[in-house]
Amino acid sequence: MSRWVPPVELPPESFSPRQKPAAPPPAQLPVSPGQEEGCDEEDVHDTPAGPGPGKRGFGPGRWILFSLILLFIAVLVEDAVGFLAAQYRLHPSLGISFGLLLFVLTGALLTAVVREWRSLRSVRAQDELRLRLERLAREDAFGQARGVLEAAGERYRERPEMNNALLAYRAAFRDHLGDRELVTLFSDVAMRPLDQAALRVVGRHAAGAALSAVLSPVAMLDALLFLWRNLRMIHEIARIYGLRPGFAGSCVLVRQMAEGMVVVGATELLTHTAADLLGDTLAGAALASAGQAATNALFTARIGLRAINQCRPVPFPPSRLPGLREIRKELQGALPTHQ
Amino acid sequence: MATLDQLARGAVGQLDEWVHLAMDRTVRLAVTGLNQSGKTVFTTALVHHLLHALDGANLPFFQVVAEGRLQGTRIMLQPDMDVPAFRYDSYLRALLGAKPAWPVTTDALSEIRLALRFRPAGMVSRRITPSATLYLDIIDYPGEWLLDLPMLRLSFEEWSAQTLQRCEEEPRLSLSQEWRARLAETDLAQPAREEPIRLLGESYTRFLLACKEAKVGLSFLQPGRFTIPGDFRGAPLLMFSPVPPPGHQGNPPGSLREELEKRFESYKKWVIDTFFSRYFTSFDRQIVLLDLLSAMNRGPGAFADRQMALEAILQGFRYGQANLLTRLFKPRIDKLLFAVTKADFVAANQHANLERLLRQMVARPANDAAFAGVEIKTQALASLRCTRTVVREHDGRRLSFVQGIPKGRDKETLLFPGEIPETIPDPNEWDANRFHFLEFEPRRPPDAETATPPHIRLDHALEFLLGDKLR
Repeated sequence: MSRWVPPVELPPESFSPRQKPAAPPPAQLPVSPGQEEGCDEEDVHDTPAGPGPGKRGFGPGRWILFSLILLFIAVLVEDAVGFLAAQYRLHPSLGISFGLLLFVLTGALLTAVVREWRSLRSVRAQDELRLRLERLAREDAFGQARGVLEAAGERYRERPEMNNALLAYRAAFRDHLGDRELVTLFSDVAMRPLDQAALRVVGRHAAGAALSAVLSPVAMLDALLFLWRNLRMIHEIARIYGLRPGFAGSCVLVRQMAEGMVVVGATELLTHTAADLLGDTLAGAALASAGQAATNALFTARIGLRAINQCRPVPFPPSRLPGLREIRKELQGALPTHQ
Repeated sequence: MATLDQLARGAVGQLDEWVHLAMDRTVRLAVTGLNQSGKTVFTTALVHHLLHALDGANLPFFQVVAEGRLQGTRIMLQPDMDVPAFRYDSYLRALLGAKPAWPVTTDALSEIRLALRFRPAGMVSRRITPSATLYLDIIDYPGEWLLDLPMLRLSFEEWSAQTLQRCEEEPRLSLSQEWRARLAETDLAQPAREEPIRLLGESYTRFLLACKEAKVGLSFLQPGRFTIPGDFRGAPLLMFSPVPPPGHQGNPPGSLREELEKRFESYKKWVIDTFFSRYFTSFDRQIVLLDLLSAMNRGPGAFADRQMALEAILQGFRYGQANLLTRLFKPRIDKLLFAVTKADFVAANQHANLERLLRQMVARPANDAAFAGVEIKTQALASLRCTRTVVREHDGRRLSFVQGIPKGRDKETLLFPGEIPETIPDPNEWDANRFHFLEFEPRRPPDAETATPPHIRLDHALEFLLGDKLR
């Protein structure tokens, strides 16, 4: 038997009418000219999609862990009940007060745990989506990216600022595009409004970080302000993309923030030492402050860019990674102009 | 006075050219390819999409358009007064008319100049010039003429020996029978006379035309003007033939052999040298178009022949990194795109393999150019898409077919033309029934009046070739 499939030409009667697509596009998005001109929707899924992530088994290790947690909770409950009973014996009002306090505390803790659990699930799903898209962006595959990108786009259906961008993506879509090209197209066209908003946020916070460096008198305060500002910036970026940075991404960001805090604190201390040694001339002080402001802005911008990269559902193609040049533009926009 | 005025105008025009070159605002694009590789359709589609980039052209990967920085494109007056204009309008009418048809084979040189007005992307350049213009020059010519390039480095004897050696293998061996018989019966030491030279030349031309026929489809056919004569039709310098080595007879003065050699040298001087030194030494970007599918249809011989022809013609171009001085005085090609054309004749999921195959086919010239510092890319492309991809079950297999109207027919067909292999197959793997690639007729899109015709990766090509000049 030959290793290749021989050519086939089918007679015209084998043409079937166009079939309904397996996964219809969102109702409010029109079908692009390329789709009409191109091919059956099913073509895009010609190559079967790769297997989804398999469910992990519940092995003996997990049973042991599960039992230990149950044991720990039981001990805690037993301890708490004993404690409350002892208080109640002392005086009923004492027991009731402690009971109420414990009830509120347990409720708050459980709510927090459930929230964190849900968010962790979404982070894991996002990590999987990103990893899949990163793989598709590297390979010469065909027919797998479209569904994944549709799923990524679905997250933003309710966002009015994304309507035009998603429409533009669908209009530019052509069925001949390979997976790598589709990921690039989605990244360039559909993500543009979010990227612009995120870059504006980074520019604003970088400018703010520069300003606070000039104003803060103490190194400790400067470092804390830096931490607070960067956490806010990451939070805002995450809100723009509707996603949190994944576990790995969070680790990278925390490390960068720690680096930044150390550098910012050290710069502040160095500035004071230099001023003490060289004398407090106006020019020297201005120069030192400017250097410190630039350091703060630079670190904030770097963390911001990293946060954008981590929160984005679609990875940037290597040639399109935003850099400090984009932030410089945003910084210019963020600084007050006198005209 | 009139002469002084003309001189002054000429000088100003030349100065303009130099300023554009110095500012890196001119691109001379070499659209290179063998015959039937799709140069004319590519140029027409490129011009058409650029002219309509602001009103509906689908060029999402061409950054200047995607970022909304292109302000418009115009066809400009040509820089060379003695070169015919590229007939963009008539080619477009043929392609998108009521009864669409491919343009007829190019048989002469033509030229077009476009001006692309755009907003620079860089912060500094945007402040210096809020709006800039890039001039794009494209030359269209018969692909056959390119094959003359390697002849420049050969003597008559060397060229004759190489040509005769190629005729020792099929399919040239059987196709050249008549010409070789004529050569055998001609006394090359006899005094030169027009009739035997004409008979030899005509016989050799017939052999070249037989090699070029669609069924055989050979590419490496020299001299190129013998099949597409252009302005030299009927001239004596198109009437010669390769001959065997002189042997003991030598090359007596006034003999037939000497006359043939004289004509060969005249051909080199008046046809090849003039043509290439004028039009082919000032390029700074190049796209090499290749019709791989027709070569695969015809088997390993035609495929290898096309590869050899391609390697030979690329040796004639200047490659290297460009700077201000080279741009002004000795232009070099610093970006080279190899594109396999007619990608719409196979299903979209085969494009990746088509590109892999192309990369292997051009590995040697690409390596040489890369060594010289040239940026290189390979891609599958269709300047005008005329099929759609359709998936159907056939014999228990899910196959991707192309649907379109095959050339010469009037009804659509569904074709699975065979799988494109990842590597160039060995000659013994090249079964006669393995590939069945058909050419398809162009299709007039339903929205032809309002939208630009569909293409495959024309925007990628534009971005690679012009993107950096439009930043």
